[in-house]
Amino acid sequence: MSLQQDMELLRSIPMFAGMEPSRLKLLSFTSTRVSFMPGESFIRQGEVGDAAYVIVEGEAEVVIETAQGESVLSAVGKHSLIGEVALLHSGYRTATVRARSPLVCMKMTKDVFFHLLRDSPDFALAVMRDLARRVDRSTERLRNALVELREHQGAQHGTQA
Amino acid sequence: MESSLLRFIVRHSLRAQVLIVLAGGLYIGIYYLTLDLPKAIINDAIDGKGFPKDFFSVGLGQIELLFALSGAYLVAVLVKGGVKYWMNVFKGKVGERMLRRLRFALFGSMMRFPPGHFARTPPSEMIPIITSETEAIGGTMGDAAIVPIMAGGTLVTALAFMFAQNVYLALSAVALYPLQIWLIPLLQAKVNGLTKQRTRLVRQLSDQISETTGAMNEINALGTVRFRLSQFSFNLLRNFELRFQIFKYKYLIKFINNFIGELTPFFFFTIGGYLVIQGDLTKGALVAALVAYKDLNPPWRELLEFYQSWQDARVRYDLVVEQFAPPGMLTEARQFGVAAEAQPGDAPSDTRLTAEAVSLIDESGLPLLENANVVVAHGESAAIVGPEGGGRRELALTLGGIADPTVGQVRLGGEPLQAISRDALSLQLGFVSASPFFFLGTLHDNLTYGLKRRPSTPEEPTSEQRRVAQEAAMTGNPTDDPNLDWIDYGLAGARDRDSLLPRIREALAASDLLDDVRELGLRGVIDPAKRLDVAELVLRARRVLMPRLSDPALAPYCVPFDVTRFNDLLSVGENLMFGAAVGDGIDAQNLAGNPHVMAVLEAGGIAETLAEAGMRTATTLADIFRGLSAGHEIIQRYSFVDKDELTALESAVLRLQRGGGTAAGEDRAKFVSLALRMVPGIHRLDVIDDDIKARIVAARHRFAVELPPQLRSSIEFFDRDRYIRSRSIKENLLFGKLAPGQDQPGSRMERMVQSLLEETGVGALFDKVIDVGLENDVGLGGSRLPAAMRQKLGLARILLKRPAILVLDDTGGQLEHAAQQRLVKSVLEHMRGRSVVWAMQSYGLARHFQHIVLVQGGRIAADGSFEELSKPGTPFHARMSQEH
Repeated sequence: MSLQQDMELLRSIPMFAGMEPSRLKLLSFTSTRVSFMPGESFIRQGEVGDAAYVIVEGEAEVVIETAQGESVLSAVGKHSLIGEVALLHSGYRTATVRARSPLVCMKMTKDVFFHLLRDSPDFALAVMRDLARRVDRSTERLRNALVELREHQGAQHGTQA
Repeated sequence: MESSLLRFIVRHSLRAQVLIVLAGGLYIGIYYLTLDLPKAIINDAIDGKGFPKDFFSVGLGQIELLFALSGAYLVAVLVKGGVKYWMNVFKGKVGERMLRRLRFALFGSMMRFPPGHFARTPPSEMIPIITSETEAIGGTMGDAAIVPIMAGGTLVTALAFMFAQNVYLALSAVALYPLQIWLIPLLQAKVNGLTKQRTRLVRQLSDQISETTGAMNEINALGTVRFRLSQFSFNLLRNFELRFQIFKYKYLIKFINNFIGELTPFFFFTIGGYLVIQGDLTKGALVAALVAYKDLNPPWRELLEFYQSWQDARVRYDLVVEQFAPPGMLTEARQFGVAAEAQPGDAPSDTRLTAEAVSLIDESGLPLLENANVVVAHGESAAIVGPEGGGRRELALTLGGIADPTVGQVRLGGEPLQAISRDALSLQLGFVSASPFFFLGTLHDNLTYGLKRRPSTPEEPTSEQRRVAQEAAMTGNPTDDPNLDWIDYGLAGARDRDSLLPRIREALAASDLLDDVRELGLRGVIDPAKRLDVAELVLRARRVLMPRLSDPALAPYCVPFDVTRFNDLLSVGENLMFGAAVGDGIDAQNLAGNPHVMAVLEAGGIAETLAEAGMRTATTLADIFRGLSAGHEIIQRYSFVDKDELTALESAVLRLQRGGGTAAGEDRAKFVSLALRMVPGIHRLDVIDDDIKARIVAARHRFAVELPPQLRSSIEFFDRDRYIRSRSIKENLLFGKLAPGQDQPGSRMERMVQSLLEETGVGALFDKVIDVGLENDVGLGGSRLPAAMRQKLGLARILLKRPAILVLDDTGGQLEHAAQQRLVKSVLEHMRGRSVVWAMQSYGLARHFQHIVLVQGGRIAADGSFEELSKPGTPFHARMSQEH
């Protein structure tokens, strides 16, 4: 539970790695350590988001709620940054995040996040890079899913024929 | 309202004015006497011959006659003064009453403005009209009869007297009056025109001021400060020019009057003197005429001045009234009519709501809604859906009785809405606007606002209440006393304030607000002496919770106040005191400034370590916030030290580093105080280690035992058996603090605590907590409430009134889908058997309604049940499939 530890933690995340120590200190100081219980959802799909989280300890799962029910998108662990998309985009949470184990996070609020974005071009660039990487990954997954779907349909056609 | 000022005065103050005129007549009579007596004193008593004289059939000698006449003069002067005093006071009263009446009439007219008029008339124009513009009219209304009568009467009397003395003398006194009578109205007409312009300009100025206050963010963001300043300055220039011109004309009038006033004596002395020398006039008559002349000019000037102020008031009145009579004013019967009280056994009325060929056309002639026909049956639920700007909202507004159709009719049970008084309509139909307004006050005040439709009848009105009512009746004001209890409890199905609370909770539950209000209550601070019931329940609940919360598995989520342990969520100082600083005896911001605190710290051997910790804290904070300006939002929100203090602390650190010594005196106390203000679990500055924590805990005992008696009322110790007055209900309940992350509504800990309490039969506490939450202030216009909560509160306020029909405009539209669905379901459940008309953005949610109306392009595109409308190929289906 110390500022020094939080700074170390942030530094291990690519997005914050290149940040000046003084900025990192500001970010750490203005963040709060928050604790959640296993099974507790702390980001809820559709709600307005005003903070991003870095997982300090424990594991969480990202869940998408649809009319057909919910499906687990991915699991996130120590040192993951979550919830920043809502800060940058519409403000609405695109998925629900639920603690799998006792979870400790650093909660950083929107105003500090934006202050740093404006104040530090390197940080802004790092955020963009991170988002680009995610788009890339999503495209990859979509491609795989499409290929799978086609193969599946092909197989069905095969059996029918 | 009356079309002219004269009519307004005659209609509402004729009796008072007649009374003034009568008093004026009396005054004039006595006045004449006071003019005539000096002549008699000089001619009959002083210069008289042939005494004893017959005076009222009594023979009087010269001295006796002098005393008798002088005595009569004295009495006349006294009576004259008395009458004048009464008249002036009465005149002031009449003026003030007329002003009250005028202002009230204007305010009443404003409340009858046609819907939509407010959008065109900014409040910044209404405010100066009702407040300052009427002010000048008030005085003139009081003067309306008395001044012309008094001044005119005095003038005529004085003139008559002079004519009686000598015609030439009298004629010379009034020789220049025709010139003034011709010239002054000409000049006054100029002033009138300028006054009109100036009044309009002042309204523009107040518009500009209010616009600027509202647009300050835009002006700053767009960098148009210079342009704005120049715009305002230009209007000030125009105002200056108008005012200066008015001043010039007014001064010219004054100058002419004074000049002529001074010119007259020239004729007067020449002709009067000539007549005396010629022997055509007695010396006594000349002196009396001189006295009369002295009195002649002031009333004449007063008359002229009254003419000017009357003209001024007349112009202002016309300007005011023209602004308060827009076309299409609503009738008084509709706006102010009071519904008959419902009698037990009254048949439930027909609540069928129908729109018959309704069109709504805006001012530019653009149709917003065309030929809409809708029937909402008794007890039916209907959703109005459609694209933004397509007429959905307008249909809700017309069905809710807020907007009147331009063509067609909306009927409630066969009767047109326009024919039903607002009061009667609001008893049947509740409308929830998309952005409800809230009044300054508590949540309770705002929730019960809709129930405030008539004052309770006091058992026996006090003499003060009677006086107030009489005064109100005299000025056409209502005699209702706003300070009485206005809540119509029966309307909500309650008898009194206490039995209303469960009804409020039901309305909150139906509006999905219980959690929000409960949280407000939990965060609230109460005086346990005043809310003994709450405090006792909290203590009972605390006893139930304490053993459960000491479960080590919960340690990361809730930190109890434990006298043997350091609490990371309390400040170091609070940890030392194991309590809170509440009185004036000790300053929580500067604990080290207190000798007792310092003594305890020194004795525990921690003062030095804390001073060190404070120094390091100051350095770190300075480091963190370097480069941010003093007022920066981030400093204000996150730092527990403001920038000025930080700068002072930083220079103290520098001083020490240069000096190479340890901190002493004031600097040392500052650093210790800073360390004591820190909350280790929140601020995480690594300066308070376990050793310090242990020593702080160890020092608690000494702090409490050796506490000087004069500080006893300033410290509130955390005692597990007592309610802590300075702490929130939540902290009292837990006898501890929730960790960040858990300290928010809906968190696991909160839910756990709630179900624990409900299981153990202390659930009633939550009802009380909600009641405490209701005592929170909503802020100006509800500004302290989040937008989503405002909408739900607007809904709860209407539900409390138990309307037979509920019309909602986009209520819940700002909520996320799941919450909106929850709200729709709970409202429909609550309103079961009663009608609901809900204009909403979501097509999917419309499935919960019996009846759906799709409005697009200002026309009704589909009308029917969800099953009928959701068939593929229909416009509703097309809209719904576009959603998400």
